[in-house]
Order: sequence, then structure tokens, then C-alpha cells
Amino acid sequence: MAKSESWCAWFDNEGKRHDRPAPRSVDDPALGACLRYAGGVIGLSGTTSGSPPLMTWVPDATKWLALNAATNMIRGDLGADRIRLRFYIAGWAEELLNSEEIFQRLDYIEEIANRPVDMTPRIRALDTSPDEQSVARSIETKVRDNAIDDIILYDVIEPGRLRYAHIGGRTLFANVCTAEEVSETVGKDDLIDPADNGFGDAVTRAYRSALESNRPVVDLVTAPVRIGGRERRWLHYKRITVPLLSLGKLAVFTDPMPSQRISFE
Amino acid sequence: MGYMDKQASGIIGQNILRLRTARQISRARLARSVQHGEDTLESFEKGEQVPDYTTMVRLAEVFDVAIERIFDGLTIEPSRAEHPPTTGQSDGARDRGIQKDP
Repeated sequence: MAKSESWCAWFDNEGKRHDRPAPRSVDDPALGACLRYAGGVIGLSGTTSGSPPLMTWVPDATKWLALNAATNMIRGDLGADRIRLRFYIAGWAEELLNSEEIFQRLDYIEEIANRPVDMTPRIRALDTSPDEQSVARSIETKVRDNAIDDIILYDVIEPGRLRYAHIGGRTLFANVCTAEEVSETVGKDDLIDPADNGFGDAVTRAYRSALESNRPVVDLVTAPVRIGGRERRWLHYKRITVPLLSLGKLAVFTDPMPSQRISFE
Repeated sequence: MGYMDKQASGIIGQNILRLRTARQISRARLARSVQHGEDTLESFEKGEQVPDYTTMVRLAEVFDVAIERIFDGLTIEPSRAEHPPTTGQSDGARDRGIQKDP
């Protein structure tokens, strides 16, 4: 059982703890900039009654000594049985974990953060006709039959919390990364709207909508992709996001449309 | 520290200058408090240099603010165009790089 002590500390990249005032908000953009500059982990606990302690860090900038020190403090000294992780990989992500699974998850996050695939954190998505029920039903059938080589599946841990369960080997992104080439180049840099939401928000918008409405969401996506430091290429495709709440899953099917040009007017 | 570009160091410098003048602290006094010369502090304020983290901690203590206030106006990716963040997602069973699906 976690103690109710309230504290905020920065654990530097050498693992040393520095007590500090609680941030105005963990969403404060300046806090992210500060972490990227300084590295380390910010640990925060007890701001809301019953809320699990929070660890915030930027994988690019944070060393394991800091992660270990923060984790040991939260698990050992505070005795927390649940921990929230907030980390930046192209966008901010947040997860709630049982404390015993924390190190395994930190390993995984570090691994994916260091993979040699770059993606500019901007995407555009447009709503289109929502009448895709028949496609959605076929996707549900595929999932039930475990014929999911062209589907990405998430486990719905709880509302608003997803975890990758499966990425089919024939999905668009598996193929892009394997081939290291995108066949069609479309769009220009000036299609990137600086006022656009962050990558993470844009990525999960359809997922949130599908789960909240319990209906499939269809959208058109244009995503700038940079692989292995090469020139940025644009992918565009149709995405169908299907909530399968009875299975505790969310299924995502992407249909590449290399000849289609999407207007943002 | 490599992600800091000229624009970012300029914003940090403006924040230091703004916090100092709002508290009516002279540059000489602040320089003494953070154990730097006055010229160095001036170069921080002009964005010619970025203070190291220890100096930032001292500045925040003198200004009595959380350290991230020195980063006000910046986000985590100020130099995105030059240094796009690295990402990838997979089911953990594969050893090839797979991007987060948009």
C-alpha cells in the first residue's frame, strides 16, 4: 500500500535525488524542454488523493541511473503498488502499471525509443464516410479467427489506456520499415501545419473516438515518414479503427492508397 | 545539451533577463549568486551561451521559481526540423524497427 506522502523530486542522470517544487502541470511544455535539456526523471507523488506516483522522463535524454533511482524510490521507499509512467517518444504517452512490471516496461520503452526509425511528429487525418460497417465486421471476424497478419491490435487495458498486442507482418508500417522505402512521394513540407496537434494526440484521436462511441472510425491519414535519416517521404492511406470491446481489443487496419491525393483545403 | 539551437538559447536568455529584471536584481549581484562573471551572465541573457544545469538550478533558486520557468516558451522539440525524434513501436516479438502507426 502506498504511503500518502506528497513529494516531487528530480533524479539526475547520475541517480542523485534533488527535491523540487511540484510542477504547475505535468503537461507544461517547458517541463518537457527542461527534461530534454537536463535528462533525469521527475518523480511526483501525492498531488491527488489515491493517485499513483508519476515518473516523467525523455528516453533520449535520460540515463538508466536516473530511472533506477526514481523507480527504487517509488517502489521501495514509498511502497507504491502502482506507478504511472509518462514519457516522450515523438509525443507524450502515459501508462499505468503495477510496480512489479515496471522494469520490464522500462526496458521495452527504452528499446523502442532507440530504434533507428524516425517519424516527423505530424500527421493529418480527415474524417470520411463512416459507413464502413461491413469492413469492420470482416475485421472483427479476422480477429476472432486469429487471421491478423494485416492488422494491428491493441489490448484495451482500461478506458483511455491501450497497449500494443500485435503488429501484423503485412501491415503498412511493418512493410515500410522492412523495405526501407516508400514507393510514392506526395505532399510538400508546407502541408505541415505548425498549429497542428502533436503526433501522439493525432495518432490516438481515432482510437479514443472509436472506444468512446463503440463504433468504427474511418479516416484518411497523411503521414510524413523519415527512415534511417533519408529524405522525408509521405505516406497516405485509409485507416479503419474498430473497437472490439467484447474481446478487450482495438483493431486497426490500414489500406494504402498510393494514387490518391488528399486535399487539405 | 546538443538539442539546443540558437533560437532556444535565445528564449532561455530572455527568460533569465525577464526573471532578473522583474525581481530588480542587478546583473552583478545575480552573477555573484550563481558564481559566474558578469560577462558570462550577460552572454546567457543574450542567448550566446546556455548555462549548464547547475547554474540553472542556482538561477531558479535565486528567482524562487521552478527550474522549468527558465524554459518557458520552449517545447520538447525546438529543433525538430534538424533533429526529429526517434520512434518505433512493435509487439516486442519482432526485432525489426516498426513505427508507431499513425
